[in-house]
Amino acid sequence: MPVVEVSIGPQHPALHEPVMLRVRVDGEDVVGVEVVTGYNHRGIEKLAESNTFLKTLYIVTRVCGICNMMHSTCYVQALEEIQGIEPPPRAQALRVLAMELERLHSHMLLAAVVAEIIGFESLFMLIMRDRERVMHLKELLTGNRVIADYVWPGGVRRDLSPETAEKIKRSMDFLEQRIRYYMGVYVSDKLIRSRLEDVGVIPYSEAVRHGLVGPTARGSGVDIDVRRDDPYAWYSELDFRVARRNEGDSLARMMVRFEEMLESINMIRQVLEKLPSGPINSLKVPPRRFREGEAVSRVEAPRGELLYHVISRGGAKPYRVKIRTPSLPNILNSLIAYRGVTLSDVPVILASFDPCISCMERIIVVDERTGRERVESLRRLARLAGTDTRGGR
Amino acid sequence: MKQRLLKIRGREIELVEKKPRRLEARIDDPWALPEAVASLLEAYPDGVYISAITAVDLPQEESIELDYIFWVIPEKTAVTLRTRVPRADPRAPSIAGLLPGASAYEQEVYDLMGVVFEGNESLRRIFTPPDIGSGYPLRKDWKEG
Repeated sequence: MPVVEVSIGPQHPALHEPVMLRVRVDGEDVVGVEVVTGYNHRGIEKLAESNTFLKTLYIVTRVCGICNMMHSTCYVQALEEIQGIEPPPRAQALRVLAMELERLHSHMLLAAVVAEIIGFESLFMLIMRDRERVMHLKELLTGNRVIADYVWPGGVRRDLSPETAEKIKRSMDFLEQRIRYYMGVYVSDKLIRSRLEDVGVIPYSEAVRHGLVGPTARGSGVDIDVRRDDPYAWYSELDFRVARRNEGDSLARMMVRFEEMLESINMIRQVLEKLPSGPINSLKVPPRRFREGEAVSRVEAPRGELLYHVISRGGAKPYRVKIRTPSLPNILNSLIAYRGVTLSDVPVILASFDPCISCMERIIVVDERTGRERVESLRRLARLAGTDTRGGR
Repeated sequence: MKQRLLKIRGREIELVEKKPRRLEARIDDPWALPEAVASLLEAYPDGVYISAITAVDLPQEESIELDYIFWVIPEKTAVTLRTRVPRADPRAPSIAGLLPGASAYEQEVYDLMGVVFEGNESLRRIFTPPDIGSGYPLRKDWKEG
């Protein structure tokens, strides 16, 4: 059978993000996938260079609508390292609280989206309904449910009232029970299992070589988590474990996220219990000008390691702000997962990487295939598929 | 970190600790970079992933700095290898053959800063919009329009 190219995206009912997958199929079998991006580029790195350090804080908070706390924390950490600012412990703990609420709603969103792509729409609606609770808590804590300009050089901008703390605590009991229930649905439902199990497998060594991060890498057994390996904010004070699975399939990636949601609840409870008293900011007014210097700051965003490399030459504007978001390696370098699947698996596999195209496309990248080696193997795969067809399948 | 020395052309280059969990080394000749990466991979097979390549335009020094940031999983340490390429003829060897994860970052640097990574066959000028012209947006002298 001749190989046909099917374009999925950039705006497509099965994909929730503006990315295009050019899928070459032989019948139903996928023989090659190419990711085409560039539909959502905003030039944020260039914009950062032409604005002041503080204006850039507002810009980077808007890189991503889901994990904006992660971006602002990562950037602010770099500024604090350059300027030698030490935020007070209460501010560090509150940053962790806000970031874990964000991880919780981000993972819930993905669990809902994967259910919808599979065709399980009632599960999508139920998870989205419960996610709304987390959004509400984030609003109570930070002042906004989506984009929250909460983190500030030297600390955070709002304190936590005892009433809000109590509300968060009570909601955690409710959410734990709901997440355990949804996790049970994912584990036991035949339909979900048949769409995710053994689909889009990435072996351990491929995940490392291709630089995959976050739950995508941990689903392949890679033992990385910035919160534990390179502690920042208040994570060194907390007791938590890093979820990992060895199967490397789409189900493993989802299970890692479910376990992380439960760990987030555990961390939020610990923060509320051990929350230090004291000021929430070490500076009354953040500096307008920053010293000469540079810093590489890393945080564990819901999708994996987020990295900011900020270079200052002194003055009010950064010389260079490099942003490396987790979706960039996770989407562009994960084409190996599509080998040997059928066309209907493609959107599900992409969703299992939790793609965030707005994140990825601060820069414009179109990836043909990652390296020459892979091109050849896909061709070989195409040839093999051709032989099988002639063999009278 | 146990392995603090990288072997390049028979010489050894030491990784200097800048702060806890952050090591770095400057490699004067960009063409020696693959050897340095290979020596890192030899010490930690299946234990190194590439986190980012930061390209910084330095017009006064007539060069472009490339900072390769790796994460060594078993040592829980970041290793930064810094090198510079001349701004007038920005060429560097690709390390995508050693670590395929580097390919996407090399494409990004090629597109926005104009550094050509020799050996990376997926470098193409189709990342930026077609009306961008011939410039590289992250260069300091780039003008819009």
